[in-house]
Amino acid sequence: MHELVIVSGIVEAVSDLARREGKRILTFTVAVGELASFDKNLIEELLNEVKKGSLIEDAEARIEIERAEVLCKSCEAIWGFSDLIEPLGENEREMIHFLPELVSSFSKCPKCGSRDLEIRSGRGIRVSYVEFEE
Amino acid sequence: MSSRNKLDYREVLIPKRLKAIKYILMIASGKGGVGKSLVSATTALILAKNNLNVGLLDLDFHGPSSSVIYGGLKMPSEEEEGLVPPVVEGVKVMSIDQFVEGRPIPVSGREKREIIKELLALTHWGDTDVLVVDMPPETGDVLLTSLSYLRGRRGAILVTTPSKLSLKVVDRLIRLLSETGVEILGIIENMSRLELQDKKVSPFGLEGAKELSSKYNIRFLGSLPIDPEASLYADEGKPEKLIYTRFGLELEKCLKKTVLLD
Repeated sequence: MHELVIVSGIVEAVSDLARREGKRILTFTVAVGELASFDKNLIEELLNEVKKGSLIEDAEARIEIERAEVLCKSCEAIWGFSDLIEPLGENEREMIHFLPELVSSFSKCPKCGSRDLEIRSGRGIRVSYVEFEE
Repeated sequence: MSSRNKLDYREVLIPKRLKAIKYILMIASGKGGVGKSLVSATTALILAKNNLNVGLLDLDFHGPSSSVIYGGLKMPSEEEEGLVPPVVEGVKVMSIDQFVEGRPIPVSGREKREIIKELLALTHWGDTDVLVVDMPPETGDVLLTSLSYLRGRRGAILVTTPSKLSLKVVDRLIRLLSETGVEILGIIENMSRLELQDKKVSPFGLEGAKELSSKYNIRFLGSLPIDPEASLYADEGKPEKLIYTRFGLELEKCLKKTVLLD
């Protein structure tokens, strides 16, 4: 449910950018990180709903899934969603849904067992691309 | 024209969240082990007892203690407005420990900064008179990130023990906070004495915090005893009793010397 707050923040941030630049925005892309396990369709629905009546009402919102890439700083192996998140229980996944950086509290490197993990990509939600009108 | 942008929704949400808070009270020590978390948790309880609408945000990643002191915390509830903190003894409490439930938190400085931004952006405090923040026990980047986001009407209470080690760190902290424009409400000396029957023992030294206060012309708010009863209630998670201990009553006297309770 806290997705609504995040999406409102995104719409406001993109609207602010349009205002600052003094240009119309044609499309904007929201990258949804795998680690946070957001429902892509829900984010899309909320974006289309929240931007109604805003400065970016006519801008097309695109959603892309950003693959999770987590580096073990101890053995330098790189892991993805299926290695670190899928094996977890529902409750643990929910905590990472709120705070993706907590992955190292719930998961270890499957190869060397270290918790010295660094998220390279796919943490939460971010605006990855904005296209302005010529 | 196309443009690559990394727009962070948290930069938009954080100032809005903090607008609903009348005063941000940062409790800082620059290092761990001086009782900062117990002072923070008890301060929030005292302010709530004095009919203020109070929140407590525990940003001590090295040893989040508010969950233990408050007798175990429920998960914040997920609402349309964001994450709503549980209320204990009139205090809205948000701590990293609610998410990890005692697990290790082996996160780097960069990750701590991300967590702080996320917590500040997502937590729905609602209208709040005072948000007490148990600050990160350091003088590095995580503290600076916290200071840069905790904007609004704000001030800090510094906690030290009488030991030279602790005083030196607080000395450094005072200079750092002054440079960042944070008003220092005063210094509290914790663990100042142990009272054994008729004897008063000061195991960590005397007068150091007062001297430090004079050096920087900062108000010395008072000294708190080593109080086994307060320690017991903190360990047992009995916040309702904590404020009536010697430690709690002395702390209330200190707070009455500040804008918060004068």
